[in-house]
Amino acid sequence: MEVFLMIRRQKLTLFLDGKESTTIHELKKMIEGITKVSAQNQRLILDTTALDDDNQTLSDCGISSASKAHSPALLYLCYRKQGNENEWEQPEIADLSTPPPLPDVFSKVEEDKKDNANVAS
Amino acid sequence: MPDTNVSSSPTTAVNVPPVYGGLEGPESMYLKLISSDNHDFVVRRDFAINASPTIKNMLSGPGQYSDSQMNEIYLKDIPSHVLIHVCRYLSYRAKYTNSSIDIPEFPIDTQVVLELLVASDFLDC
Repeated sequence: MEVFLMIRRQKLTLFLDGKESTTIHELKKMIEGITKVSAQNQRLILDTTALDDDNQTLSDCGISSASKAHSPALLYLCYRKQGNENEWEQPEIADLSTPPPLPDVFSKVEEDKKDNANVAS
Repeated sequence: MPDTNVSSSPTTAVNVPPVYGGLEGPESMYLKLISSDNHDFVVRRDFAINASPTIKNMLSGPGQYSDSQMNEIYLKDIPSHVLIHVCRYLSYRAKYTNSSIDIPEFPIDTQVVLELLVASDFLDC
């Protein structure tokens, strides 16, 4: 079964897909293909757990096909710190922009739309 | 390494090929969509091209060298909180087009729906 993932680091978001049987190692290889950062220097974090065992599959880590195409599972990516082999950077993502406030008219428009739909049919 | 099932309908072939695609070259597996606030979103090339004729034309139209070489598309009118929904839609559409299983509803926040409408009009999808 396919699994959809959103892998985020600072200002970068990768939308990747794989199978439940895809291993962490394969995922890191896919990321390496895009970011040019070696798989050894990548660390993937699901919620608060680091996925450090490269031989685990996505389903082993709890990522099932429940993460649909339209709501992919979120993983954080961080790179190894330069110069210090054993330290990883903190997982952080840049906030997305905020939508403008909705005009008050909006909630009324939804009710009108429902009436129109009845009238049209 | 050629794919064994050479089907011309890319919507059914959602198998991940063993080749680890990157961002280079005219046939890269991924595209980078860049929002107005400089957030990078990487999506599968075939998902984007199948869904949006605008993106397809941007890659093959005039000035093609810079865009198709780098496989980066600057969407300077689309902010990141909208583009993230667009990317979710691209995978949703790719998975469920011509599908016989039940298609779940695509959730959209009321906050972004107006801007998402503008973006979808621009991308023609």
